[in-house]
Amino acid sequence: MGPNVSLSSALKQAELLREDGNFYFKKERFGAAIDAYTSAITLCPNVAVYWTNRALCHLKRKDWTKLEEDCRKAVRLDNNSVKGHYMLGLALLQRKEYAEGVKQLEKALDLGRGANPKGYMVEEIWQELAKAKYMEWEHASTTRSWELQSLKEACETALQEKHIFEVSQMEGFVDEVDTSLSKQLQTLASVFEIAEEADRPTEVPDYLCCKITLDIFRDPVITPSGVTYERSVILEHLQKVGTFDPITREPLFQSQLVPNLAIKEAVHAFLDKHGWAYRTD
Amino acid sequence: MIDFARVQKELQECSRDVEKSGIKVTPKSDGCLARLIGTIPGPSGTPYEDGTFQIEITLPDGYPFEPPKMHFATKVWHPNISSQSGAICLDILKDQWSPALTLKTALLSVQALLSAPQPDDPQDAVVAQQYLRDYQTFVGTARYWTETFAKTSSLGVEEKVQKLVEMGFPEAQARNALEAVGGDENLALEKLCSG
Repeated sequence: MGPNVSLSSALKQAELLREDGNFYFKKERFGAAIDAYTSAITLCPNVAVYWTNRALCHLKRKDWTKLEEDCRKAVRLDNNSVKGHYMLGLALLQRKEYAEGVKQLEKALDLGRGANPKGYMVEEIWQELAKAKYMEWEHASTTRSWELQSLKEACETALQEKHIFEVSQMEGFVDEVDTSLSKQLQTLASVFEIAEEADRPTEVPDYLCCKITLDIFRDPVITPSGVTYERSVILEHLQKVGTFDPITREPLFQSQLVPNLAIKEAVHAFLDKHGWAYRTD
Repeated sequence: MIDFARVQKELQECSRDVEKSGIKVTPKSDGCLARLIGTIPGPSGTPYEDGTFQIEITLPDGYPFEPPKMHFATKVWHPNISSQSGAICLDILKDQWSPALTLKTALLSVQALLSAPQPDDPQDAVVAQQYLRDYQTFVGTARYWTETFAKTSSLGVEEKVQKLVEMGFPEAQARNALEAVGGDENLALEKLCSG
């Protein structure tokens, strides 16, 4: 027997072990599943899927340290592993490593868009990412609002002190000085009002929302009629309702859907500015 | 599974421009988002003018990939609406449904149906016959039904309860019935009589 033969037989053996693992996993026997995946990893340590499968068991058991280890190994073997980046992100968030965790989730979301329709998990990733981002925004916006408020008060005090000084300097023109002060205070208030605008939760513009979910786009795709929808729901529509564009009613098939990158970027830019829009109920 | 996040957004959107459209959608008294009450004003220039029509809405599990189920809770005389059950014959509530439609746009279509009856595709054959053969009588009946069933009385809840109590119903029952039908005293009376 040559080395090639033994390699392929090892892989075959490992595949069988993975199937065992999947079987135990479905029965929620995570200990047994971990054993099976571990054996598969011992035989073929370079297959990323074995590592992510075992990681999923760790996730179910909330074993965050082991989850992180397995995910790191998986993304080193396959940097395009959606699940690897996703679960690594979860593990990092658990450790309160927000910036790095969010980065991993964003990477997973990017890789997951339009990827393999069988293991499509964009919504799942989005929910976790949105939760983390919303918390991040809440924290940052509270700090910002506090800073602006104290700066505004400092400016108002300064203007008033200047006013008192001016009044004491010149007698007789007090009326003029008074109106100029109230004008300045008004302008100051409106400047701060504008500064706070981005952090004030309002409505996400309609053009960044899917006409079916009525929610901000995660993975926008455009139809030949020019209408943009959320990928998962337009697929559900084609499967359950019929092969037509929900708005124009023109015939529509799955193969005609194209990612709408411009809207994707617009959503990204909007969310960067308005973190409150990450809010999920 | 019903997409409740979407339903929630629809309700918000609807209440935002209720002034302009006059169309209201509110959850029924139990607060469950799968059972709602829609309200549409009768279109002006029709026998339904000045009436307020309540429509019972039930969302199926597959919503928005399946159409919402709607029927009139307010009695109405119209060729495409059953004078008995309130069932509505409207294509977008059946095979022409699209998930890009919403409760508000569906109710707008129902309102449009009030303005433009389709007697050739009737739900209520008796009404449709009358509409085709004796239009004047049809208009008279439709207006009479609007006056009788679709006029929101100016009475407050307490007065309505009082009125039903005077008719001989126990107060608690009268209150429950009023609540169950969304405050319409005629419907409450019907419910009390049938219960």
